[in-house]
Amino acid sequence: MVVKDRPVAIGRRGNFVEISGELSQSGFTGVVEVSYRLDEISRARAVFINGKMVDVRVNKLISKTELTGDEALNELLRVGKCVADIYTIDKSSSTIPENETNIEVPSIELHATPWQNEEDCVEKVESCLEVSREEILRKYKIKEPSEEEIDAIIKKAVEDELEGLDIEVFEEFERLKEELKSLSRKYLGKLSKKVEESIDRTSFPDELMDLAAEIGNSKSLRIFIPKEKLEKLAEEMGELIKLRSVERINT
Amino acid sequence: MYENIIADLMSVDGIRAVVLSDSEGNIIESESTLLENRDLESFTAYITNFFTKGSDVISKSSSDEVLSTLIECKKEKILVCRVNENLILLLIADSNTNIGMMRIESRKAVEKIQLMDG
Repeated sequence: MVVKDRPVAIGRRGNFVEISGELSQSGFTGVVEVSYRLDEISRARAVFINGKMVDVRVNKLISKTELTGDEALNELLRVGKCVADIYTIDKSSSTIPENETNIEVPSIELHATPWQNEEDCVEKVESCLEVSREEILRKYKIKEPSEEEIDAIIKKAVEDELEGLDIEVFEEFERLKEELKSLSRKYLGKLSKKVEESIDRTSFPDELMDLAAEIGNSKSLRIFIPKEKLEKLAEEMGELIKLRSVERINT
Repeated sequence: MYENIIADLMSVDGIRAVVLSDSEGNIIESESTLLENRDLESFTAYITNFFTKGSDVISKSSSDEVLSTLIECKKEKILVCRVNENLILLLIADSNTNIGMMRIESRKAVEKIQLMDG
């Protein structure tokens, strides 16, 4: 049970979202009696502890019905204009523990923003639920790394990964690349320079297979080299890659 | 505008209607659980007129100011209070309603309105 003490504000006019948003932000502890006329004259009593709404009840004075928890909160979010009387709590007579609550929804940070109708209200509440990136970073005390720090982290991760690779496999792959380059030179002569550069850029045998297929279908090379010759080069490159792969598996 | 006042008074046992009107009897804020065929607007206008005329008589004859008037009828009690020179508070309650409670609550309401409008 919460016993109200001295008044902080009497007859504060506004809407519930606005008023409770202000109280939440200021870390208010006390009782707010909100009077409004929705379908009938009603009186809501919300208890705030350190800015967090821990209890809310609505009494409909004509039909003599009471709403509590989420139901009461949902009703209050529909209220347009209301009059609020704000009181502090008489701590010596009050028995509500700080963590007691009859509201099952997560505590919503309600901001003091004006709104016109129910749809607008829902929109505002939904927008309140969207937490910005900056707020999350601040809440969990996460420092965003700079571009340089990100590059350093990636570089270190790649180096660590490479250290773990089998050096023999790496050397084998390099030898295969050299073999392919010499094959390319044999078929293309001076024109093999671009192909050799492409081979150097590859890191995995699969990429070499794709490259071989591309050479076979290359329109720009076909201007200078006959189609049959290119297809033969592609075929030989493919066979060589497969052969080396089989050899590696067998060993 | 004065929903908190209306809610305070309507929460009191026995009170059936609360009306805040201007000194001419025009309703500003009201709530009632009286029968729907009861014309609260006309009733407020008559009672307010009665109250202001009575107050004028008293102030002229005894140079005093009337704060409230209680009318006890067979079926109900009617309490009329002056809030300020522009506002009048009218309470209609069941005949068995505690008069002391009505007076205390009406005074509280008057003080609250004065605080709000002050």
